[in-house]
Amino acid sequence: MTERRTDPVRDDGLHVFVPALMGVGMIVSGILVIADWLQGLLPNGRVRRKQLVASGAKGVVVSVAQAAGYDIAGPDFHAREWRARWAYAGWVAVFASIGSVALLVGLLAFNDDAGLFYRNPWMVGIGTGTAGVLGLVSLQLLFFAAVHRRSFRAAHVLVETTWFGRLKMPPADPSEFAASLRLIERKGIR
Amino acid sequence: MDYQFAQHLEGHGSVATDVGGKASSLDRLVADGFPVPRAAVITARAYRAFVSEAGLEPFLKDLQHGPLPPVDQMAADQSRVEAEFLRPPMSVELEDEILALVGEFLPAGQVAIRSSATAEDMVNASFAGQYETFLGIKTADEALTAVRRCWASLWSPQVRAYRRREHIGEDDLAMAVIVQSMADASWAGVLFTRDPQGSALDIKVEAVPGLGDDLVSGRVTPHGFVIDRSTLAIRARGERAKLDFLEDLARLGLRIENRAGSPQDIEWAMTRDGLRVLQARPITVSRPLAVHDDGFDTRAGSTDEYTPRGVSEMLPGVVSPLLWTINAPMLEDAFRSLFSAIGVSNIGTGRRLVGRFRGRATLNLSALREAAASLPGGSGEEVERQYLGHVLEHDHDHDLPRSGGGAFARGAAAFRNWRANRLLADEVELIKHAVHGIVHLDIDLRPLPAERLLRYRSRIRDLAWRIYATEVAASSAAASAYRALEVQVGRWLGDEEGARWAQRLTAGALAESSVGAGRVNRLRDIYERHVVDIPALRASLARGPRPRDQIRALGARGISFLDEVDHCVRGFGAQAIYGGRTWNEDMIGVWSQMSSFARKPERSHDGGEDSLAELVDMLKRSPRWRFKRIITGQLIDMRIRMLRRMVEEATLYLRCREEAKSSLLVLGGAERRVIFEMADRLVASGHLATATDAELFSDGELEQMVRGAEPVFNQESERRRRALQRARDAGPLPEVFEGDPDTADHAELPTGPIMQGWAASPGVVRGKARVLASLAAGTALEPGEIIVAHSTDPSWTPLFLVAGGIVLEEGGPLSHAAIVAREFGLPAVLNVADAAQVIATGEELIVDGTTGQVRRIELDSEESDDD
Repeated sequence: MTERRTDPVRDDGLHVFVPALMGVGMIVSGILVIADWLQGLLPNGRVRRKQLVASGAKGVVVSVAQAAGYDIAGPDFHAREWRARWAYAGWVAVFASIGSVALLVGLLAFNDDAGLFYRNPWMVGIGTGTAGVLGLVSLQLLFFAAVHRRSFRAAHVLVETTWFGRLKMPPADPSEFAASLRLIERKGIR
Repeated sequence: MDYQFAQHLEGHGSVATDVGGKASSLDRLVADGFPVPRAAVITARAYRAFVSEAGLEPFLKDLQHGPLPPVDQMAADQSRVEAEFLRPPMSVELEDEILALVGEFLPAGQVAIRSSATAEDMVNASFAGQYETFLGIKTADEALTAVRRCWASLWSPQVRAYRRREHIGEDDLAMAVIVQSMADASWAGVLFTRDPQGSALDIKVEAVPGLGDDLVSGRVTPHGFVIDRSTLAIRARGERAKLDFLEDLARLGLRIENRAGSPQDIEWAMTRDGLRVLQARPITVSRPLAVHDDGFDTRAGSTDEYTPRGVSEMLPGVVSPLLWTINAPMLEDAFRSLFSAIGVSNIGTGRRLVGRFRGRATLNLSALREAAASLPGGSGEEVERQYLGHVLEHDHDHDLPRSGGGAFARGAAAFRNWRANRLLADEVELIKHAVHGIVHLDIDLRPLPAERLLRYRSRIRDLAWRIYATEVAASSAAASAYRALEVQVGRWLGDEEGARWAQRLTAGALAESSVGAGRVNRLRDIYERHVVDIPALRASLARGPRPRDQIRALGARGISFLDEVDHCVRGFGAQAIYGGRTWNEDMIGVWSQMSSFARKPERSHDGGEDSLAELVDMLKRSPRWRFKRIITGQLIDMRIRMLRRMVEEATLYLRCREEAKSSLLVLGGAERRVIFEMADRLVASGHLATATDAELFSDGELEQMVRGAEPVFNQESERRRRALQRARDAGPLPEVFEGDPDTADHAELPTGPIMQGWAASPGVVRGKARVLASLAAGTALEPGEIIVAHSTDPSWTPLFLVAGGIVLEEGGPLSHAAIVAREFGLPAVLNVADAAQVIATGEELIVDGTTGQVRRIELDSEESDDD
């Protein structure tokens, strides 16, 4: 005698098993949709990785050239560059808004006689400090937005070495990368 | 202190004519990272200065041209020579330098003073134990005397006799002297990586307690050990001695052999700090060889099974000693790196994964099966399916290893795989950029001194090691991902459909990246750009295989076209094997590719993205599919999402593999330039008769000759040339064999009208067969003919543009032929047993790349008539 195989759908009569299965499926689907969305939002470090690839490749080329008695001149593949003008303007708006809100919240809390921080000087201090720092940063960004690449040397250094500048995409095509390198003879080596 | 007559051996490169063979070899060991005691060398310049200042030239001329003393007067003759070297005063500068150098070493303990002649440790003459070595030197005065006696030993009667017997010239001989920290040894001795008197599959170790000097000089009888190269198991041991470091020692010896490229005779010492290498030189005792063995074949005798499948694309045909000794260590190391990364630990350290039989490259199938089986969920069967295209029938002695492994073990293995593969794409990008950079620099090699040339080559080789490792890792990842895709689609649509869809889904994705297509596309661009301006170009190209003169006759535009083609082809690098023949050495392959553009319209690719959309659409239309989606509450279709991920992963790894392979071949062009430069120098110095003779020597031998070692005798190169020709004449190896491939079982040739193989690229074509034994024979291929061959490699790509279909005896789903055939939309059936032997040129065939059948029309109609 053979035992009949149980069919979870038919035996369950669509009472418990199927809704549970569908529920789990929906939850997992929802999680995947959110995960995909988040993944799209998060920075994927693409430029950083490209920079590491280019500088690593340059290191290999340099070691080969040096073995033959040469040096290599070429771009710095870890460099940063100016962001777009509108990006600086956008950041000004964001920082200025946050700074204003921080100052406002601090003052309201200080003056709110029913509140926990009534006459507490720390609240004014923190609010003013935050607003001050963000205000200075906003001024700097406003300056960058206004004069942009025509700025003076120190501003260029600031942009090329800090987050004020964005990571510069190295040549993606290997031929372009190769063309950016130049052989220099080392004096007295050969 | 800056020395005029001395230098430290720190691995920065040294010339044998300056520091002697032994010191040069030590310096290379240091450079390669082997554990060598701290050492410096008093150079040959010091010897020459001393001989000149002391006025010893006439005395040495007499020794050089005079008769050798009778045996009973040798001791007296030696004393006379020593006295001549001990008596004269030394210049203050030279003496000060020697004292200063020895003074650097003495505070740390006793030193050893060793001879290092400029004629020493050569490929055919090792001079082992012939020159003086002084151990336990405690004072500067003792050191000065020892240095003088080392110089004198260059002219001892025994050494003069040895030189005359080996026909080694005595002009411009000199002796450098090594000053080395004494290894405080508990045991010391000699290791031969291939037993010179016994089996070449064994390592021979001779050991004595304490310092090994007595052993090298032959004054004591050592404890002898014989170690299996494959398993590192000790086959025979010295009676009383039991050394627990033998396995480490054997492993060290094999690593040195790997780096040197030839069997080595290594002096070693076991100290408190571990094993130390005192020197290493090539083994000079020859062994009996088979008629087609040039001395570089793997010795038959182990119980491992080997197969040429899978590796014959990377190292196709009979591989010359030079290319074998360059490529095999890199490939071996690449497999070991992969195994180490994915957690395989049961491969014996001394066991070779890559072998050479009849000059042809093979893989150790037994070792690969065991490796796969040691992974959770893995099996030897999968290895056979991947490399052979089918599973072998096994008897009880060869049951396939199969792994168990629970869910946790499988998860851990999957994590290890993910970790090993996650940076593959970035690594491939880095490699591509670096290779382009190196080729673009186009450094002029002619003015480089020998040491700098060798160092340049060594840096290029470092990158090649890296690319080999990446390619093998990417191949493995691609094979796993492709198989997973095949199995998954097979679960939904059946096994056959699974295999067919896996091909289609991954075909278009490779259109721009594969070794063949990249080249084809670049040449096509040039052709299409110029053919608009020069209408006569099409006719010139279509006319024949050597159109250069006709194109030049077209005027300035024709010349500009030729320049652009030449420039482009220079960047293609090697045709099929790293360091091997390049595309610009013989442009016939390029012109036949160009000719095919003129003669045949462009093919359309079956794009992977379109195929995926088609498959998704087909799956979604199925009511069963829709029902399952509803019942499991999938708001997004998770199976489609998984399918997309699997296709992405398979195409990513396949692309990585193809791009790594392509980069390796391009870099191979740079290596080829160095080989030619070395060969030209060796021709100029009389070491080689012609530059092409370089192929007959190992990488190590060539390097030694460039460093100034004596030439390898002409009769040896002649013997190797004959052996290689016999290996070529002997034809391909059996699919799988154990021991000697010549004694492997040969199945009867198929006689039926239908031959079954592996469906590699879909489509049906009818045409005449063209059986090709080599790429050169491909010039006879007419458009639309079906290529029938044993196997192909990347250099055959131009033929694919002309052919109507492909039938090969070898090849699996991921072989080059399968990938390029799919790219060009050619019907292809691979793995058709004995196809190239039974099908004749001109025979009419129907090739069905969808079902994997090859129908021989004439036999088919004969059978129908009989019926």
